[in-house]
Amino acid sequence: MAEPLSTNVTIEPCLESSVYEYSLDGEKIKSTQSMSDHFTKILSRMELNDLRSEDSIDTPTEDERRIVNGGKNTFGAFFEQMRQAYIEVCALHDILSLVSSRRYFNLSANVADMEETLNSGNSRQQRELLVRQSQDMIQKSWASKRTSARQAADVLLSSYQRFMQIINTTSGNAENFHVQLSNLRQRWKIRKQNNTNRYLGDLSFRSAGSFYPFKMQFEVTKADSHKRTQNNSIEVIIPEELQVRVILKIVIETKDRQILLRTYSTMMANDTIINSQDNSYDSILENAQRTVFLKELFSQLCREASDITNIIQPTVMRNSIKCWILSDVMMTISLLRASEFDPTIDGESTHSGAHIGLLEYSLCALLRQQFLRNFHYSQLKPSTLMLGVPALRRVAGVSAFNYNQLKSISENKSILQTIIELSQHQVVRARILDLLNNLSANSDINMIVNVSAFSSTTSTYGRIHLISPGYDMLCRWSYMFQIEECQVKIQYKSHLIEFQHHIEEVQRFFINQIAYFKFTVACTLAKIFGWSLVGSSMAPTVGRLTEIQFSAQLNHTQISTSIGIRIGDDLQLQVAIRKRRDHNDDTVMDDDSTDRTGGSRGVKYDPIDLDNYCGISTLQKFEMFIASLLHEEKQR
Amino acid sequence: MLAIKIILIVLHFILYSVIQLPSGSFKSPAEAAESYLEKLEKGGAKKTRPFQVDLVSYSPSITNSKTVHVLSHSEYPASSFAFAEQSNSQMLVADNTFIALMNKLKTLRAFETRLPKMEARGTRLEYQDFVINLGTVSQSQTTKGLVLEVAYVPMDETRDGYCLIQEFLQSFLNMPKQMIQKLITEQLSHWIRSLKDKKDAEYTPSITLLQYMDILIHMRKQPNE
Amino acid sequence: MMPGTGNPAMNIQARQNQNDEILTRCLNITQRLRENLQVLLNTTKQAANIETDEQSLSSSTTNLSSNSVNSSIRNNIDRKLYDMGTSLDQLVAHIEQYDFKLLQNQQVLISHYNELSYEKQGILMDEWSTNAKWADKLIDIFPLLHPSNQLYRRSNQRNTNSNIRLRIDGPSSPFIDRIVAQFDTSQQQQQQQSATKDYSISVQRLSDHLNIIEFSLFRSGLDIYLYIRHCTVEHVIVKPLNEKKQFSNNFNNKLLTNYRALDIIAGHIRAAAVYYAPFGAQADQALGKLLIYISKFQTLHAQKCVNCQKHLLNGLQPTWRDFKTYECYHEECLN
Repeated sequence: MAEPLSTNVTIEPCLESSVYEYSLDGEKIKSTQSMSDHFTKILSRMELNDLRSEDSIDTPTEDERRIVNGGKNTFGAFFEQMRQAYIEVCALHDILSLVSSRRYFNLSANVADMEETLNSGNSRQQRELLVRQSQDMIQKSWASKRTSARQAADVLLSSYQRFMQIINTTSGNAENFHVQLSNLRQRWKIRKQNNTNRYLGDLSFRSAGSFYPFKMQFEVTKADSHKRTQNNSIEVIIPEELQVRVILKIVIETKDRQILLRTYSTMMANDTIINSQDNSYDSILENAQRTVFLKELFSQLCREASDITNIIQPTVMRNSIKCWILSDVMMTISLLRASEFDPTIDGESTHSGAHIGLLEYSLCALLRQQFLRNFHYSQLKPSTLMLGVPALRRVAGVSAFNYNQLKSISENKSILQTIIELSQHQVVRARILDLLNNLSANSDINMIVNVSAFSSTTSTYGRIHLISPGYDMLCRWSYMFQIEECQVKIQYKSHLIEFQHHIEEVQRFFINQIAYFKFTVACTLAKIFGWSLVGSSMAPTVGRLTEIQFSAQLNHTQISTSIGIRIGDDLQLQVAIRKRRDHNDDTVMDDDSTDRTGGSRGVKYDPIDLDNYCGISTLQKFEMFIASLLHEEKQR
Repeated sequence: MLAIKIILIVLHFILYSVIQLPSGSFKSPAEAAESYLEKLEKGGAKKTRPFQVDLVSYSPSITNSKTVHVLSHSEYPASSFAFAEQSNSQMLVADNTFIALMNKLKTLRAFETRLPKMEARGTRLEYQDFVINLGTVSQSQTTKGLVLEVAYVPMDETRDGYCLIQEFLQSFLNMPKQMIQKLITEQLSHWIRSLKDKKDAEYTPSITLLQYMDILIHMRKQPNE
Repeated sequence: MMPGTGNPAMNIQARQNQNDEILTRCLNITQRLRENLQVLLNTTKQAANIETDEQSLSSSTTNLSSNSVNSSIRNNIDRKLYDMGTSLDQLVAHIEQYDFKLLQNQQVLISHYNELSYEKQGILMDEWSTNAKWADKLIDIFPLLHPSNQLYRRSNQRNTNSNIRLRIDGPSSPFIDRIVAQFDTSQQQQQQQSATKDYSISVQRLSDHLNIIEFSLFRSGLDIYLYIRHCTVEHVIVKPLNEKKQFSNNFNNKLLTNYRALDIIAGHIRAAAVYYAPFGAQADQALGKLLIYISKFQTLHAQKCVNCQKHLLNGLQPTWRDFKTYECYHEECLN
């Protein structure tokens, strides 16, 4: 085989894509290296830990060196290029395997070189192209900025650490004073007085609008040299009247000295009255602030109490305000010093759950509202308008408010009034509900009391149902009741009756209603069996609501005995029978309410003991009794 | 005997009506006022507080311009009401400072008060849900007559309610039926007819004041009693 | 197949799978490339060795065999080169199919995570992807999880299908709406001519069971608020309509009126509420009857009392409406 005289040589243009390098600033630099050189450079920068390195790439063998170095060797250049290609393909393989394992790399499209094709597309395509290019550039520059920022962060961190070392090691007192002063200043209002070197703090509520005339200033000074320690180079001086702790005490008791409520409050977040020896300046100042608050609150209450336009006039004594919130209930609000407080008298706090802190919060809110009223500052223009006037008043003239509306604008409920109303309502409500509880527990019919969810702190609504157990379908009565601040109203027949002397009257009313209910149920039951009501002591009108002795006579067409039923004093049903005579005699009902003098000319009834009949409740026994009468009659 | 002057005033869309009461059968308006007051009190109304309505008319110095009537009512203490003649019965409701403004204009000679000031003074009574204002009208110390304002406060609709006012007037003040007819019902139907095309206008206190203004202006023109 | 864009309707998971597939194929191709290159290098070495051997030996005895070896080597090389060429082309084609746009939206996040994961040796991405899968799962089953939906549906169905005793489970607003709608239709039937309604009912829902029905009667200027707890009336308040216009804050609730007549009407409505609801059954019927009763108060100012034929008695209108016949009476005239 003859050797070919020529070899095929392919001539290819050097169509290598240009290499762009993105610097740390996001600049796009056209690199002068070839692609493979550039790739090599990048590869050398990367540290790939789990690169499965190929063997026999980095240590060229003797042969290879001989081959390469033999310049005139036909295979030399070819070998070299192949070797480079081999390295690149190995690297590509490794990169692709890393990308597929999704751990370090992600492929992203390189926005191709578009300068050649810009003039070909239309303007919209060009714009899109440019947008994509710029986005691409932004992302890449962002990534590079992050890395450079990290280096800067390292520098800053190291310097910070050095500074902290310096700071922590020095222990000069001067620096400590200022440091602690600035710490304190973060929580309290401290200002430096202008011409002297004093630092004065303010504990009052002036910025909230209070006009309390006493100055509440405290002073922060450097501690004396023999007291100076690491943490304590400042000293806080509080005025004398704030150095005591005060406690607010509220007592509600009846005329007979029965305590309905007694509660103490120091405006502290937790329940302890006297706390332990926590002497840091923060706690000292906090206690002082609490004292200020309680004193201001109490002075506001005293001021309101001496207002003579109150409906209920409280009396203000040395350190307490007493007022009669109901005719027999007195409420006392007093301010005690910590020294006067005797922890043995008071039991533990009876509040729990959502009530903890409710009193304190409400008092704060009310006082704040009061402060706000001290100046009505509003941002309304024009500036020539009068200050200190609430917004509604400004509109009043133009909207032609009448006299009542104007009065309602300027009338404000004082704190004491709110407290009194609330406590009135609470006491009345507790009493009424207690009473209803007792009644329903002790009577043998079912009395269901539903307090409505629409009730508020000053008015309670609800419904009361009377049902006879086992005979629900016979009769069910409902009442709607309404408990206002100091009145009780119950809906009866078509209007609300107002009860003035609450407990006794309401009790009497309900006892009457229960008696009437029992009576009606018994009558209805009898009617079902065919008995008819001949006469009763019920008046057709509303009648006296205090009566409980209802009585009636029942006759049956087929039975010759008459039954008399009556609700006795103990609210129990009493039944009696008598034989009917043919002629009518003096049928005066044998009622306890009519006194009998002389011999009784009334109708004689023989009482029946309902216990002889079986049944769980009286009504059941009555039913058995009636049924037995009918049965006897049928047997005859 | 004094002549009976009866002037009809519109019953606007609240049960408010302002009428001029006849004081014919009495010797003087003061006595008339007394007797009406007694009647009301015997019927069960309660006196609450005095009331007063003022009318001041400002006419501009340049003649042939509109006069401005400014009213104030003590039941609306924060407002003053103004009305310019020949406008379409619209009243301006403003703050009290409007009166001060007009006074200032008077001192600056922009306006003059040629016509005398009219005042209605009396008492306000309350009966169940009604409010009654009874007053004597005087024009610079000479009494001119009586004015009565009746309002049923909770309601705004007129169509069904004027019979309430009718009955009230009949029963309480023993006003004969034709008088009520003339005073109220005619004007009311006239008013309702005029408003049938557009929606019902809501009641605003300016309607009451409009009625007052009409009465007081009319009384101003009357001879003294 | 369109390069790079992929089907946008495919969800991300499918695109990701596609990408993975492409990558594995590229991997295979590069592997092949590597092997080819390796073989090429070896054969080049062989050929170079043979050449140098030839040069050094300069004997022609083994010419024939070396020639054949040469030609076979050359053929080999040619074949390998051709192979490599095709493989490269395939690689390029595959890369073009790679869906870069898949991750374009998440580019920033991905690169951030990449950087972070480099520090954590590559495990952050795994955690993140597992979390994402969990979140997806959660979104799928969330509608089934939400408890109130389920109960609502269940109890609602039960209540509207049954005619037996009313049970207080499930929210009561469908009942209220039904009752109000019934009332509306009944009123429509009665007054065919009315162009504009002379009343309005609105329900304010405070919670599942607590509602406030506001019944405004325009002709008589009354505004009646019924506070109900699941069809049971607990409180009634009657206010004049003009108060609402003046103050226009909806829950104004001074809870007492200043007007005697309205108070009395409130008392009557309360009595009616109790009267129409006997024995606890069918509370919604009672509410319907109550609404009808209230609507009779439209004529408060227009009608005269049946007994005394007057509008006013003691300054009060006939506020009592008989429970059965709906005639109006003064209270005192009843006795």
